[in-house]
Amino acid sequence: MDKVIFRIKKGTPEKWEYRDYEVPVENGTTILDALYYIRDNIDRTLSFRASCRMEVCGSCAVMVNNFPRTACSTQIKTIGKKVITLEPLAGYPWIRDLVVDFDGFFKKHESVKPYLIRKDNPEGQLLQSPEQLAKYKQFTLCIKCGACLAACPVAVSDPFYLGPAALAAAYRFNADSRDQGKNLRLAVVSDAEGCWRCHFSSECSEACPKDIDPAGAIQKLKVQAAGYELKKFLHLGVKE
Amino acid sequence: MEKIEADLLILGAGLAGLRAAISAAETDKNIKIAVISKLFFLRSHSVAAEGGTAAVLYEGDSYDLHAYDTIKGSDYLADQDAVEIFVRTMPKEILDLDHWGCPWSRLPDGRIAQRPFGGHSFPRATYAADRTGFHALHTLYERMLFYENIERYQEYFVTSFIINKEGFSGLTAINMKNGEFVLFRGKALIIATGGLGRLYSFTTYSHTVTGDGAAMALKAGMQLKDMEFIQFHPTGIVPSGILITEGARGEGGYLLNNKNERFMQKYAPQKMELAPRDVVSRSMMWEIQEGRGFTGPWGPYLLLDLRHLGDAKIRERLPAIRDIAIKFNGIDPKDEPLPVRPAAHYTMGGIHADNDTSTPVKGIFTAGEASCISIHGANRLGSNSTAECLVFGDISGRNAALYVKNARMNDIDMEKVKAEENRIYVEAFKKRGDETVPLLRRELNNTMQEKVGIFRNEKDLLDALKIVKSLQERFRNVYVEDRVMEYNTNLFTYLELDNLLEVAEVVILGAIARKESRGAHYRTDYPKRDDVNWMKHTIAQKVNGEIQLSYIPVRVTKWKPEERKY
Amino acid sequence: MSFKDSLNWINIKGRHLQSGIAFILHRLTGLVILLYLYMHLTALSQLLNGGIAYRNFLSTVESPPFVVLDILLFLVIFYHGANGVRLVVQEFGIGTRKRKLFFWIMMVLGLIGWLILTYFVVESFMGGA
Repeated sequence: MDKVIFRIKKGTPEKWEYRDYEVPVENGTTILDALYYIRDNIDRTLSFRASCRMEVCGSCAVMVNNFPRTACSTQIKTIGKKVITLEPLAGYPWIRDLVVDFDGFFKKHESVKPYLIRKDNPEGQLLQSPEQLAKYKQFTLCIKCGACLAACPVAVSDPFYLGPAALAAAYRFNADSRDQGKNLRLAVVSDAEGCWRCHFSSECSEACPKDIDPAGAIQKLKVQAAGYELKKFLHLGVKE
Repeated sequence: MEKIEADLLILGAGLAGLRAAISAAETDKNIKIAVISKLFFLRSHSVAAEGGTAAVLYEGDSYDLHAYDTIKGSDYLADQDAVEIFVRTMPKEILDLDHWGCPWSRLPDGRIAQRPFGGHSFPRATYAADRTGFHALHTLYERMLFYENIERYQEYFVTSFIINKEGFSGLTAINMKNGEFVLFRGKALIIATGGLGRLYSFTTYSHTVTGDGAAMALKAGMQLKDMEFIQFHPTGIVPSGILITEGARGEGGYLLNNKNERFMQKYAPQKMELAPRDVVSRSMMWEIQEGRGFTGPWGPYLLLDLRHLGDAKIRERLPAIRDIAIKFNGIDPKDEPLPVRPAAHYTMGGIHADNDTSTPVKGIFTAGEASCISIHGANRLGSNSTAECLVFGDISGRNAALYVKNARMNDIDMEKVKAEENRIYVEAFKKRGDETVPLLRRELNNTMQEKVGIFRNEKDLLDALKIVKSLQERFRNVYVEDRVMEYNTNLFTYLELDNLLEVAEVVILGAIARKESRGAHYRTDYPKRDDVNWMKHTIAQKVNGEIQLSYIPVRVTKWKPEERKY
Repeated sequence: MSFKDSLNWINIKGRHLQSGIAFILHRLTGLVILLYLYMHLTALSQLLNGGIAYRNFLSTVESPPFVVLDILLFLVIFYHGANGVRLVVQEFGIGTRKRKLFFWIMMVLGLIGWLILTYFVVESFMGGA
């Protein structure tokens, strides 16, 4: 059984240090397993978030050797390093140890109106062909782990930028054939701190554990937003 | 101490909690609703549900058939009038989710698709690939953002229910972010805290499912029902225990033993792999006991074979399963079968409630896995749990909103609040002995896994009771070492262990008392179902610090008990 | 939010070559081009001082060290241009999943363009000397 040193940023913003922990590692041991090992056997004061341990709840994203990763689905052996540095997600207000403040992240998500908007009160099924479903399906897979924001060079420099997760959520609903609120959302995201702040560094798509390509969603959103702005500029009557 | 007031408090933000919040907000736009959870709402364990949600949608299926399947699956312990309410409300819930944006999988003509599931005699599991719970929870969360009268309190760890003579009066909680003590006051409460699966060491549950609701209810003197029935899902992947959905078998997957036989032929010749979960789990354990399992470094296992489905079907219908197998086990299901073993998966029992989701305590309602309205009886059918959360979440939200309209804020007993504050902030931090949370928790998990698992007998159960009692004693020597109040996980795991120890005792006591085998509760010393003496619900209640058991009858309407064959 | 934080984009830790590094380079090369534009306009403004002064200035900048700088400037412009074309296309939402392949194709094209231009510059410089 191999040993790996975990160097973890431990403490609060007022007082902190990097602390080393030695963890035995086998094939299949994940970063989250290591965190539980440390908390159960070495340091019971270590704080981190985790829940489902199957990469679906989005709790456990941390910086692993400077890359944002969901701890539960990152195999230690595949990193291939003897020393692994764990830090809280970049670009978020830090609370302590590996825990950051997610309130801002969820506020941004909320601000893009990420829900289906209908002007009528439908009864019965809203039909949708498998092809129509396929148009937005991948963007529904976002687990809101926040890794994309920590990876984005723009988001870590500009706290007001809506960020990949929120913008991808906006696109997910704009691309849904059942939705009728496209322009309401475009009014929010077509903004200097919205999709136009994205410069397609595409680090979000590199970081996304669910491989949903948020960068792609933002670019498609830009095309929609451009059409929306043009129509508004030409006074073609944008319905909201 | 911070004080937060709202008309309606909803504790827990999984499918049931969020559905209740939406339903309450729709019923009455003028009441203030507070949803409280120890997690961010999207982290709730509902997110891990995979296979589907049962509902009668199409020609060929009927309410009676769904009800019959559910009742037969429950081994006739379900309350039949509750089941009828459940099956009749369910189709509307599917449509609501459709109108709110849930990406249901579709038939070529654009209608919502359904797939076969264990114990159902019609393919009625409505699904969104194999991430049904995930999509349903996200849809409800997104829809909730729509309502202005729903306040969100995320990462508030609730520690106790404050109840006085008139009924519910408040909750004490810790704001996890800064560690401050918070008092929630409200006219009514909906408990939707989910199950207690982390009692077990091999489980499909999230790390955060620790029976908090049931334990706090018990401490507050409320009644728990049928807690001895714990469902084991046949296919938890070895070694992590991550759930491999029943949908994998619904789509045609085989279970194989080390002789490469589809052994379910012997145990359930008609339904084969799609027999109810208790039947399949037991069959698997028999195969393993009789030496037809595989052995590995993480214990015995059997195989779930999906190879014959082909890569395209696996990618389309079971993408999450494929992902899990590749990411966590390094196995591509198109090339290799998956190693599986039954894993603790669901708590059929819960807080005793009526068909309208109200509990005997005035002002407290309950829904979802935390509740026991008893539609699942002794064994739940796959795809009925997400369905239950939706139906009874909806009903509880509506009823609670109506209740709140004519109710007033009860006076709160500040003595109890002060005592709770003292327990958390003074007692928990006092250095006492060398016992630690992980040590006790591991012992509890191993005890429950070995002695209160799929097969039970009097000797093991009595042993387990003794161990749990001693763990409760030893828990007094545990203390919180971490002095930093911001996000003090040491404190939270301490409180969670307290809750787990509380409910473990109820599970074991119920199991010792029930001298028969019914559904998920299988006694090797009493292997037959006994309808004469045991067709009744167990009620557990704490009286003067001791747990007392009593029994209430099962409500039977149309379906008389018969032998259960699949 | 401090001024220091607003420079976080320049941090190369944890950035991928074809994604974050490409983005940082794009910004930096953009700044260099902007700087050059100012210098270029300043140089042209020498004309205000009359033809002789301008010719004298030209003879200084046509010396070998300046030609080397010119060639490096071409590299910067070719990178910015090639990557810029990729960004324009991709920001229409086209081929975002194939961004790495696209990046390398544009890099190769840019490099070929730069080599050809360098060849002509060097040749004309040598020929002219």
